[in-house]
Amino acid sequence: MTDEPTRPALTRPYVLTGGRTRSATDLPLEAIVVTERATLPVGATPELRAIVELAEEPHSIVEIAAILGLHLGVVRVLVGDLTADGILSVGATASSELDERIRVLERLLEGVRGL
Amino acid sequence: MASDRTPAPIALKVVVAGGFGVGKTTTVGAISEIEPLSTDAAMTEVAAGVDVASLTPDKVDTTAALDFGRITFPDGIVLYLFGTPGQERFAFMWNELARGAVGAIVVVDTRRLAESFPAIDFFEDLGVPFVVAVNCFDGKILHAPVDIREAVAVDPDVPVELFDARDRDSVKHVLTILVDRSLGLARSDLVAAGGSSR
Repeated sequence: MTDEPTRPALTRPYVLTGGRTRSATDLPLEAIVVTERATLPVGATPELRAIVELAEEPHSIVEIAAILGLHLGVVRVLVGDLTADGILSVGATASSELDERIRVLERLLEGVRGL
Repeated sequence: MASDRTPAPIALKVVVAGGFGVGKTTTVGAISEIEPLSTDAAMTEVAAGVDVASLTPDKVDTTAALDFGRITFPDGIVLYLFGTPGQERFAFMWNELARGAVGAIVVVDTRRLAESFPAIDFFEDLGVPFVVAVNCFDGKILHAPVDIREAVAVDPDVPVELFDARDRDSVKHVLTILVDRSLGLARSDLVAAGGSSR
């Protein structure tokens, strides 16, 4: 092992999250969020504002990342923060309960057949 | 301002997997209601536990483009279709994508069957419902489904379907088979759970 010059950071996008790559809530990337109250603290970053604005209409985490040109992992952390603060609410994703999973799959099957 | 807001729909996902250039993005695009979007999935989360430096001594492609499409159903369900990066080095993303997925469509090019094996192994191991969708480029069917089934060595009850990734109805057919398969497996699981819960 030798002391090498510091490698360029692989995680530079995460400067937006204070370096955190995980959020308190582990949100699936397809989870759809909606803005509950657009009251951000003074000094909130443009990225947070953009997310809250976009989520006035329901958007998934992965859509927010694609539309705003932000890294998926970064959006996941920021959305996790906003959800914890009650600014965004998160819609349901696939249930681990079999009963519920079956009910949703039945609805999906109807939907797909009707395409 | 917010009183008439729509509640967030239920989000479901299907993974479209397979080898490089096999027609995954075409498949997604054929049935998506939006022009497929693309996002960079950072490698960092994943890189924990993996020696990134040894993989990539000097310069690294730290991101993988993740293509996806969307179908909105009238009853509050939105289905996302994710085209996974085909290369095995992006297999780290498959775990994330497979978690809670309705299932997977493994797109197969019969000229390069072996490229579909990592995806098939992965979904089999994880118990994710999947169908094998044989992309018939230019309508040419080079092999019968029975031969393909033998070559990819999937369980007899795994659907193997010929399809055209460019054709919406054809993709819809494959998607229907997958959702039906997923529902059937979930019902079997429920029966099994009920039977063993005394």
